Amino acid sequence: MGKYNIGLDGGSTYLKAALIGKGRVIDTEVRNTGIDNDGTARKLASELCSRNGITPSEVGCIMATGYSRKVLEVADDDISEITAHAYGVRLTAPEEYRPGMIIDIGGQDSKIIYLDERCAVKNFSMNDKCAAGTGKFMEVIAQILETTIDNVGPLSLEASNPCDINSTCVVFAQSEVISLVARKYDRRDILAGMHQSMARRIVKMMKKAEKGGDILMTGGGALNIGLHKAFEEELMRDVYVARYPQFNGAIGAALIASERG
Amino acid sequence: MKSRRKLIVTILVCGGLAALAYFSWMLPFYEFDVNDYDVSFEKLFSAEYLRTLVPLFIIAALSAVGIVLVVKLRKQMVKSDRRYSRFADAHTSKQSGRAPKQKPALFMIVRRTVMVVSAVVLIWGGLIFGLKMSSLSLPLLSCPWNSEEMTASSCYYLSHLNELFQLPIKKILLFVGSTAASVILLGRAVCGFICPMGLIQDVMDRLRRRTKTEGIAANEKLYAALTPIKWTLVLVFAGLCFAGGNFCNFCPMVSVSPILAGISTSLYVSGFLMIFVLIGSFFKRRLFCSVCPVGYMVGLFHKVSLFRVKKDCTACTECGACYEACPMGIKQIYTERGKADVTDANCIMCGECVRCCPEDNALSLTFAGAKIYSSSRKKLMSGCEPAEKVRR
Amino acid sequence: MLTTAREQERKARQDRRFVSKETQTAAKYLRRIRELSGAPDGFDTFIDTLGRVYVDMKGADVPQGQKTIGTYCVMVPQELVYAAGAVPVKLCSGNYTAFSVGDDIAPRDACPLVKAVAGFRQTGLMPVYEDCSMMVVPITCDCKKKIAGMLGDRCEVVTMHIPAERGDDEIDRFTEQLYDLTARLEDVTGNRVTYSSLAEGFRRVGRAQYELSEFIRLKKQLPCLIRGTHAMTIMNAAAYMTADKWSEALHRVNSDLRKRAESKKTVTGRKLPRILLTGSPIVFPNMKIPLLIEEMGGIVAGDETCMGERGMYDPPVITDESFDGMMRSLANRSLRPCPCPTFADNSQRIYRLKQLIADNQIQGVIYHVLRGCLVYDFEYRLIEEELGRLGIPVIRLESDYNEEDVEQLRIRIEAFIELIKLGQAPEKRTAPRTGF
Repeated sequence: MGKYNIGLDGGSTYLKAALIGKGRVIDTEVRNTGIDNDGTARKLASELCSRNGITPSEVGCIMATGYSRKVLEVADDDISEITAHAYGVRLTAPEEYRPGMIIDIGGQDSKIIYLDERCAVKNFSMNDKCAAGTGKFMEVIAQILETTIDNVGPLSLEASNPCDINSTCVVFAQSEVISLVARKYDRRDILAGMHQSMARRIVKMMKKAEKGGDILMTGGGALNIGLHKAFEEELMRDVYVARYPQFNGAIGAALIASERG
Repeated sequence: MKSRRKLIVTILVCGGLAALAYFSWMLPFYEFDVNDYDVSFEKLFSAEYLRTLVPLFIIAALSAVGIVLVVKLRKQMVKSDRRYSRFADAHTSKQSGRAPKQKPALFMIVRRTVMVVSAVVLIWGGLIFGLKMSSLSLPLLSCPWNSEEMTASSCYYLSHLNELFQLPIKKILLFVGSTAASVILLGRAVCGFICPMGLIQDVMDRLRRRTKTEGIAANEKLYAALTPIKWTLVLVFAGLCFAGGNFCNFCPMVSVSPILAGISTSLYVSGFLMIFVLIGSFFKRRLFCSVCPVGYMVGLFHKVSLFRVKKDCTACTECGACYEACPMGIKQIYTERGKADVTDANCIMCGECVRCCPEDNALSLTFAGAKIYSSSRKKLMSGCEPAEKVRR
Repeated sequence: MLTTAREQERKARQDRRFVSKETQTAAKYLRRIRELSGAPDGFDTFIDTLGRVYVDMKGADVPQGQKTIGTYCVMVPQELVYAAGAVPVKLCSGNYTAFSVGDDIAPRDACPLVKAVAGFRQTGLMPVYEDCSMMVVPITCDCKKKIAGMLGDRCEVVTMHIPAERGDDEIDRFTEQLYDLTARLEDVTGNRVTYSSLAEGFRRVGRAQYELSEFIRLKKQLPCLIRGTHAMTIMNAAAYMTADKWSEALHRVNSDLRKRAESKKTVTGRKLPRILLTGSPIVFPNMKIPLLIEEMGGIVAGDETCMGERGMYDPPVITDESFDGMMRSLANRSLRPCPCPTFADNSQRIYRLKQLIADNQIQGVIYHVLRGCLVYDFEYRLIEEELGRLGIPVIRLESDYNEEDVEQLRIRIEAFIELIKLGQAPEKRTAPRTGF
């Protein structure tokens, strides 16, 4: 029976780990996935422990989630991202959040999870066939516009006249952006347009019937303030951002692990 | 619009009946010179009894002729129809095969036994057991002209209300009390279990099934067409006495029950109508019950009777087998999707719907809350059971 | 027309490729079904039947001298076909290879089932299809209507109009259609349908239905005695077996299940999330969804699909023992209890689902929608709402006849099963940890 639990979230680009104990998040860490998923995970876990002065025997169940969860042998069990994200909300959501919906913008997919009042998954929809509306999409566009992913959000807020980007596919949107650049549009306007088009696409996935409760943004995409604002504008209502948005899945996995001892 | 048409039909049928009554002296057995009410147990075994039965034989023979005519006519129609002509031979009764049939349920055996026993008791009861209960009345259509009934039929005083109030108060109370008690205790189950008229119709129906003759399928239009006739009969039944007439002159049962008890009596129009009832119930099970005025009156109180038909609405697949099987054409029994109680004013508690229901416990008959007969797929499919039993 | 030898050769090569691809897929799915644990005794008969049709590429196993009649819906009464001395086969297809051929023939939004049928017609290589003397196509949707026309230039086709309502008049009219169908069957087989032969048809199908109702009764037991995928395979195999053979084989399965029930031997040791599968037809070899459910740790405890239990569930109830009465009972059985969404009534299936949920103690419902199957998709909203009121989670899975979406389906099914599992008490971890 350990006092602490670790959740591992093996995403497509990064491997995230979260250490929780006594019902709160103690530490988080992120690293590039690399080739050896399991090795990276083990390293992350021991690093988290040593940094916080915890011996391995104090760590109870370890739970893996995410794209590469099946190969993380350090974990005792694995759980799908959907469930993990829904659980993570219990620790990461702001106080005033009434459970309703989660928008998760991941590296290669984006999902919408509908929650009931007790934060249990009611339903979910995913965009898992196409990279439009995902973190990867933002990265590609950021690269074209010669900026980094971290600056995308703040830059777009300075836009005065957002462009229209109508293509729904990354590849097509890329060429659309290139042509916009060629036509000497301001890159801040292009970025704002990109955020709007992403938000539009994801909002389309939502079911109109299930808009009760509040909306929470998680995943790496939630770090992007521009996207956050675009969502609020598109939905015409408040959108909350989770604490540790990137680690929401890992925290959720750790939380599920804590139920197993 | 529809009810206006029904009203017109009702008036027309009333007129028809009146004309029939007026000209009925032309019909056989309209009136005997002497009515012989003198019966005894010994008379039933004498040659004289056969002589009293002659009118009944004539009625039966005429009905048989009518049925054969209808069947022949129908076959001619089938033969001339492009679609059905090639199946004309498949319709005949000479085919040897038998459709799979479920084993008879206990309920059905009990019901049939009760019907036969009660018919015997209601026709010859007085001769066998003596007239001990004759001051009690059951709401039946078993003829009170037959003085040898075990109990009286309420139908006489119900159709002669003016006479009822001239009775001594004790008799009125007995009449009202026993009728009300059976309405509450049994409701229209009296039609399905006790009424001899029901037995006659069931026998006709069985005859048809045995001969594999095609019947008339359940159809709302048919029942809609029967409604004006029902209204007419109710009108005649309850109102004729005040106009100085006598419903018994129309009642088909007059031509059966008294004759069987050995009474020779005038039949008026009733023998004529009985032919219709026999032919009708041959092709459509319990056709007369759909228009029976006594049954209608009992049915008015169906909400308080202790016999109920219960339905488990989630178990129901809306297969309509109950509706197809129902002799009274009650549609709501399969369309109902909310209420657990589907007892209808027309329901005679014959249990056919339960027998034909393929879903376990979807339909059941209850008496005072206790289930007495529930549907079961196993029972329904019992005709298809493999020959050898499974060894455990 | 194939004029030159070279063109003929090319056609032969294409045919060979089609056959090899088709048999490979079918064999793969049969293997996956076989690999699932807990198949009952006598299950091999059903696997062999499917293998015979899809892997060995032979026709259905029909007694010598009898013709086969292809049917495209459960609304075609098998009793009539047997009465005419022929054997019915169900031709609704779930074939991936035929689907990819039919994809080019049918419009994009047509449902995959119809595309697969069109594919088989185009290639003309499937013996089950080619053997048919006649095909009966009830017009349950627009796609079926157009495919009936397409099939018509290869084979004799009878279409049946399916009314939108199920009142008395509609039943009368459907009975008339059954008479017409019987006449066509007589012409094709050369046998007369008589009272005796129809009664015999009723008896044969009734025997199969008797076994099926026994099977369903055993299947209801908790914990499960049989996996739903196996049950669905059994129901799918019924399409290519005569009623006699099928009921005989099912009888064996039933007696094995009875033995299991007595010895308390269940299909798996643990309590698995019990899932009800409903929606568009699931036809072999398109068994990816039931297989995924069971591979991801759930159990298909009930299915409400027309190639599954529904196909033979409702018995015809003879309320009038005449020839016409029997025909009418068939019409009644085909239309009234059928929860097919082709009828205007949207609520009937909900009651059926509620009953299945209560009977089988279902914990979650997976609603399968074939892409382009609009009528089923229409009913999803209502069912979701109604079951939501009961607290039963529902998920809609849209899929096609190909294996590209397996991974997406897998993640959806997995999350759904986890959702049910989290409602149950978790297993505790006990072993102490020494390092990472």
